[in-house]
Amino acid sequence: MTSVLVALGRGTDGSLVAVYFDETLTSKSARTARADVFVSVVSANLKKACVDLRIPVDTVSLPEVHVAGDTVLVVQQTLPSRASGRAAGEPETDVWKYAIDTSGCRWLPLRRSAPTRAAVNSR
Amino acid sequence: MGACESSQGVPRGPSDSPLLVAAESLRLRESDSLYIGRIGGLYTSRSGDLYVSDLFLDRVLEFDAAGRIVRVFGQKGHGPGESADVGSIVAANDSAVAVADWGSGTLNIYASRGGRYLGSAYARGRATSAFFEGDSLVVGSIRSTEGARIDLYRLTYAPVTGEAEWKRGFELGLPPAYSSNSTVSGLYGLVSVLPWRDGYVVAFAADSLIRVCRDRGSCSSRSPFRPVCDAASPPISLIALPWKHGRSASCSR
Repeated sequence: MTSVLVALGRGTDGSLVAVYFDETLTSKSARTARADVFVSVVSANLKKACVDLRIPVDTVSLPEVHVAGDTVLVVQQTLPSRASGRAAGEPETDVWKYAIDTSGCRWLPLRRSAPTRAAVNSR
Repeated sequence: MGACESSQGVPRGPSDSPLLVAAESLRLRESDSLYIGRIGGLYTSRSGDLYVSDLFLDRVLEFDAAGRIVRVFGQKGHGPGESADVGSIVAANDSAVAVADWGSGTLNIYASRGGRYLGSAYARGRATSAFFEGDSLVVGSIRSTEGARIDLYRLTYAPVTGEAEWKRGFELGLPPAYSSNSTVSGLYGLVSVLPWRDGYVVAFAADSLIRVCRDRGSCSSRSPFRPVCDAASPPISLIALPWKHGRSASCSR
């Protein structure tokens, strides 16, 4: 399993909203994967975080995710069921919007790594 | 239809989460000629419009809040405003939409209203994220073939002439996960660059650190992008996110 940061945005209160995939390769030959999707919020002072809240997604295909203020958007293509009346093979694209509410968060302290001068170079 | 009402095997909204509230869901209204072949990127403007890049047809579709197609930006090709390999929609505001063409390594800029092509600029790598500062763009890109480093720079585009001016940027060393595996940068790259107080927040996809880069402050008079490299004012802070789950070696801290 690999964890990948897929989206980062600013909340209206100045916090950072980060969305992660926990990806698992389902077929090496077909290069397909499934993912569990999580949201973490880092406070505006960068001292604490509310972490790893799971976003419910269809795990058949990897969704696209975007953070817009206090909202997380999830877009995913799915193949319609036969009962839907849509032609077979025509994917449908759905958008889900989730509002973020941190009032019930259990905040965890963040640790700050030592600055690394070598990490930055002017051109 | 609310997300919790879905009955077709699609995601359902959370019911017991203290943090996420399923606000709404919608199905995009695609047609036989205007459809998304394969989603490549996603962006929303402040007005609520949704931009989706299509890897299959190398173009960007804009949808309104009701899921109706508003306009199309670009098409497959190598001419002005066309994309050889469309990538991320790196930024959008009321005046412009910036779309990365990873095939040619450029950024294409379109007018938000009407979709007119305004110009393009060489992105010095694979542009994955940006934000507007007035009429300029601050762009984050990754150069996996040139020492695998990150650039942040400013693009000033002229809406009439499409001329772009690149100004001085700075580079960040890649995290260990990137240097130990050359395919990581190609697969994931830089995920985001955001304005942050007197600097930027930069995050890579394949590690768990959020970098706060201070580069304005005392050095802003020389260049808004020049990093503060003196020891008294550390140029970068690394904030490690705690994880609840076990993580792979590629995201070790």
